Amino acid sequence: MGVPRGARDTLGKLPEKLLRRGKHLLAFPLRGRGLIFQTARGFVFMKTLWQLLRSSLGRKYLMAATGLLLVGFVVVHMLGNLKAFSGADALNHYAHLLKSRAWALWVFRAGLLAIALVHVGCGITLALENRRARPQPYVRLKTIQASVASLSMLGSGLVVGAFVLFHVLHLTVQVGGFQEYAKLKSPIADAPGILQALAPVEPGRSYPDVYEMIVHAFSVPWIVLVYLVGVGALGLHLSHGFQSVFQTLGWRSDAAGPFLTGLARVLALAIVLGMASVPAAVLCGFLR
Amino acid sequence: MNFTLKIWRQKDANSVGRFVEVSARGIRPEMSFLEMLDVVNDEVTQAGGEPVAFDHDCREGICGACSLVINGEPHGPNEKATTCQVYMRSFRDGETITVEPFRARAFPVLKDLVADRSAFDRIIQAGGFVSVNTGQAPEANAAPIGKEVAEKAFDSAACIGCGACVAACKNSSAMLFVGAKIAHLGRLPQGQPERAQRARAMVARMDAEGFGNCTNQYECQAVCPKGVTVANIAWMNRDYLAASLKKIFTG
Repeated sequence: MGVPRGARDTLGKLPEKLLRRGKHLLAFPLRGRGLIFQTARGFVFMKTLWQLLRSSLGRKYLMAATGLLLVGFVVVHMLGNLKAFSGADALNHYAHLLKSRAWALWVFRAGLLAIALVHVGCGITLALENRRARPQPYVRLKTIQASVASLSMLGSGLVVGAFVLFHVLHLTVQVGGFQEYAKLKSPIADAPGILQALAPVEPGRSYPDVYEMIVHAFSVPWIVLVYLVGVGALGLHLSHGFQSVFQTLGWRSDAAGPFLTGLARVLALAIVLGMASVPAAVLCGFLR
Repeated sequence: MNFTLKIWRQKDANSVGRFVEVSARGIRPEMSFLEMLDVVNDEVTQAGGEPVAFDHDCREGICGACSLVINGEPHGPNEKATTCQVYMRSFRDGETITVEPFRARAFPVLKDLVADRSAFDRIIQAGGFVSVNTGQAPEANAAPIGKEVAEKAFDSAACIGCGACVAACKNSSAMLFVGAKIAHLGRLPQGQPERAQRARAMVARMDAEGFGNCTNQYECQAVCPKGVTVANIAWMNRDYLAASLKKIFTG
């Protein structure tokens, strides 16, 4: 009774409207009756999707979305690395958890590779277009306020890519002189907790000794240098890349701009410190 | 005041251009940059030479016709000013000033300092029409628009289409211009009927014209004579995504 007439009408219509819209989206493949109609709809669907993904903005959305997922991975990776400071058993048990289900490991790796390839592929095609967009360069073009990080995204990205390749060959595939790492094994002390619940270890059995591996690996100064350069490039890349995500996906306003810039720099610094801490600690003799 | 100008001279679109040094003598500090070029051209013409071609029209900072990259900055050193509103007092007496046309594949140089910016016109054309009833002027209160919305739409509409954003962008991207145009109509009720279609068509045209892609460095915003901000690019990013998804799922 207390609700005005106009408002009641709107309220009454709202669920119906939502329902209609929901049906619209869900029933899209079944809409229309004839085969020809459905084929035409399918064609429009594929064509529009292709137009979206091929467009400048479409590839920027892909860059942003895959970049965000890769940042998520980097953060988890960093938190995992910090387990080294909780001792050999903690790190080795965590490593055992990650490798305890082979199918999950390979699904994860394939997904990560696909995401990385989309990110790199879009980045390189966009950058090539940007080069072509100014065939005759200026003799002089001032940089007014763009950050060093934003100007070096392609370079920092390529350095990170090269570093990831080195890192995977070094500690995951363990090629060449690094094959000895695979021989490092040790038992893991049985500690009750979530790790034991998820991936139980048997007393007396030997597991890959990741802790010993990083102690070996990061006792070599040139390897630590490679890691520091790679992580530094990653930090530079993220300090621009992370805030770019918000602009590209349309979530940035003028008022939120400085906050997002600061947030991205804090995140990048945290990742650089977190990632660099393990090799640095080993080299300085804190971890052994 | 006296200056040495390093000016880009190019016979026509198919010729190779080069820099030519020209001296500008007896320039008064209150002259605008374009008036200084007028004085130089007078002397060049009287000496029997070909005057330097450059774009200009209203000379009061609202038409978007003037261009030029002066000492590496589109529209010269002053903030939020077009070239016609840059005065010679902003330069040091005796200074060597480099003057180049706007450079981008989508803005081919036609002659000297004149770049063909009709790619912007084609983007506007691709945007199509807005459904507005013809006849008498509508009653002012018939379409209520909030103050906040009106102000934001006006900020976007302040774009004069000069192309400085493209000229300043390291990637020659036109996204600030296109963003401003899409946001300008997209924020207002009059722009709603064709909103999704307009966003898709203008972005497609922008891509086809051969502009580069935004890397969020925001140099465009720094040189924009009208203070159009990159929030317009964020608006475009959001609107284009929504428009594309709508088209994909509802045909």
